[in-house]
Amino acid sequence: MISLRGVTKRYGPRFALDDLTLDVPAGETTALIGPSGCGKSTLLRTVIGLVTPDAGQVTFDGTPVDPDSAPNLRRHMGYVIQDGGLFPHLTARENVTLMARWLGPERGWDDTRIEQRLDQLVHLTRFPEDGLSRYPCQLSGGQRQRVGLMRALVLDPAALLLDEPLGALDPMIRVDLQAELKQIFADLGKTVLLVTHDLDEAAYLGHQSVLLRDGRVVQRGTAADLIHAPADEFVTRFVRAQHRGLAAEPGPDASGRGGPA
Amino acid sequence: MNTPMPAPVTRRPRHHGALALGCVLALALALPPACGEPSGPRELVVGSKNFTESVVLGELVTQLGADAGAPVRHARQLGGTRLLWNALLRGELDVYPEYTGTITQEILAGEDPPAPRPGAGDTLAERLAAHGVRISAPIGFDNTYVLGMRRERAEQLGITSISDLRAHPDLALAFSSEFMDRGDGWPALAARYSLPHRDVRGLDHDLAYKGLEQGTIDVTDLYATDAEIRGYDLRPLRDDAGHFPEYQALLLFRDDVPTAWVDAFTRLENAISAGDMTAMNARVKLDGVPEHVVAADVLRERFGVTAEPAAVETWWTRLRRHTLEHLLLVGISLAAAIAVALPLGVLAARRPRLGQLVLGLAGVLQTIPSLALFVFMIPLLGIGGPPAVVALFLYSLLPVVRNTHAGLTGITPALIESARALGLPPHARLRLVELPLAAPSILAGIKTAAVINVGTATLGAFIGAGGYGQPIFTGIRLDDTGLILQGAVPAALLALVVHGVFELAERRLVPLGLRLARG
Ligand SMILES: Nc1ncnc2c1ncn2[C@@H]1O[C@H](COP(=O)(O)OP(=O)(O)OP(=O)(O)O)[C@@H](O)[C@H]1O
Ligand SMILES: [Mg+2]
Repeated sequence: MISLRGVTKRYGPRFALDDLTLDVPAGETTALIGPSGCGKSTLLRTVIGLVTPDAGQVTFDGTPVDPDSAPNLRRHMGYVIQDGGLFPHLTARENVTLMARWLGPERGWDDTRIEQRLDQLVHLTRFPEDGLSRYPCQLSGGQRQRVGLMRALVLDPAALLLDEPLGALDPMIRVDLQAELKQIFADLGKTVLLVTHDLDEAAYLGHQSVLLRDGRVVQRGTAADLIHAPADEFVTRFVRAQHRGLAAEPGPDASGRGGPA
Repeated sequence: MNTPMPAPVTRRPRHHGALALGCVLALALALPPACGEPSGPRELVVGSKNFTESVVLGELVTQLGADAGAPVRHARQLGGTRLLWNALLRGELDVYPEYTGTITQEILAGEDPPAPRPGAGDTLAERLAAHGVRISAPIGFDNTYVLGMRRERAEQLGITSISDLRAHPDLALAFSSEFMDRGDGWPALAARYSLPHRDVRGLDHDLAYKGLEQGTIDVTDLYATDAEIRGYDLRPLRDDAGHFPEYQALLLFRDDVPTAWVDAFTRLENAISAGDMTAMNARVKLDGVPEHVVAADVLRERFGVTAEPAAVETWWTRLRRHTLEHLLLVGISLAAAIAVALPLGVLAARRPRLGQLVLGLAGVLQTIPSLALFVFMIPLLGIGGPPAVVALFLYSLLPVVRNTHAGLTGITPALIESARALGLPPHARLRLVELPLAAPSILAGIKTAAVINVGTATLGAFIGAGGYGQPIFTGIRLDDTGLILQGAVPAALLALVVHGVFELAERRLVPLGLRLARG
């Protein structure tokens, strides 16, 4: 579905992506994990064509992603950026339907269809109906994430790119939303590429996890593979750091639900 | 003839700025005649400079022209000599009063000396004829420097001319600092007349008059027809040695003015003495009689001409006219500035290098003193509404360009990224996301431009564009605070109203979500 071949992106002397090759299988959820600054967001940006690689090639459904093809391909990819990126001057409804309204009736998006789609999404994400007419600053963090997700899904894209969709939420809501997201992914059966820096979240949501370091893939597999068959010393350290972090928290069930899938 | 260039088809037009500027110029030129260029049948346009005597003379010419049946208009109290001379050359004025000294010292000063061939091209009239300008015979008074004394004291001492001062070395003399410094001022005068006085001071003119009144000063410098001669009952002392250059008043007019009209206004030749002129100046400046009334009285007495009683404007109709003129100046220039500056601001935000250039240029425009900018426009667009509109337009660009640029470049990168990731093309991104997000900044810029524009537009009166500046300039000339306030107060009120209107507009145009988010 999405494939990266030898993709390299440099910012000054630093490699954000370093000769990276990766296949994201269709209909599955792939979780990108790794320490801060390892290139997760950059990888997502190259897929959607916001960043043009210095070398290598990205293809989406067989079509090379380049500055010419990207604008069209983007309508087949839903993208939720790391900070949500809701437009503050538009209501939740307007944020979600912006793209569909711009496409307009002549491209198949008349008002009835937009309303129907909105209805489906509200149910899918369990967004409170009365929140639709509110502005982003009047919504809670979790509601904002749902709006972001609805906006990404409105054109019914083939793939969904999520950059730390739950990053800014408090743990309770986060756990609830993880469950909901998992359900949504299962319902939609879409290709999902999801960034997280949390191994447990990756294990819970992802069919496969990809661990990045300094712009390279260190290991790819199930979360169980990472834990039980680490490819190198770095993977071991990464896994141990995550679990020590959890162990340090009080409570008997600290590592909880997030065991290897 | 221009050879038309084939339009490059492949390139997309990038000249919105130039195009818009063209539109502004076209708009400005299309201003109604009240505010700008004359149109329709031949009109006699009379000019006058920004001081009372010139305005009175202009009024005399105007009413004589009207008496001869000419459709006549008086562009009153325009800026200085250069401004009127150029307007005359360009045909925006047909006639205005001038002084021989000014013609030789200022207007023709930069030219080559008179042709060496004897009898050809060396008289004033011949030199002016080369410019297509004719000259009347002197009107009858010489408004040069004179020395003045209280009449009482002069009579007491028997002084009538400057040479008489020699016999009274103990008199106290005080001169304006300009007169102390001039080439033909005090030092030269003292040498010429061998004046022995030692008690000579430089003093502000107003203080000098007070000193004369109190008797601490005996002699000061004046213009020969100053109203103060009557006001303080002064006796001008005759320049019996002919020291000062002549400033004979006369009329300059274009050689294409119809003869009948020329005949009408040249009736002023040799008709007005220095005493007459002083009396007229004094009636205007000291008694507060309007210039056109003073002129009409003189014409009736001298020539039996009953000038059409000029429709006397009430306080109210005058205010309305000035308001209308002012609103036109501000409205057109501001609308055009917004139409040009917004796209320029967008362009500047899209192309950083070009942006620096655009912002730099707009900044440089802003550093030009506003009065200078108005005057710069005259060679291009003449006098009246059009140059004022263009000057105001240029002046209003920077705040709008800068705030549009700042508003667009200040948008959180995450929002731009979101808009791009949705697949919105650039123009849709601009319209649906970026401009609404930049709206608060853009509107603030427009508000600033509008308020500055209202204030600056008062300078339009300096180049004949009317507006609230008109009463302000007249008030300054006549030293009449009431008149100054008649322009200054409405101008200040208009600025407040404009400010308020834009505050309201902000409330309507800034998206609700942004206002809520700002808290
Ligand atoms: N526009 C940019 N200009 C310069 N450097 C950049 C830019 N974008 C990313 N980088 C650098 O590239 C590297 C990878 O950045 P990236 O945002 O992909 O990291 P990340 O894995 O998403 O980190 P995080 O988990 O903190 O979000 C970092 O070192 C970052 O500083
Ligand atoms: Mg990131």
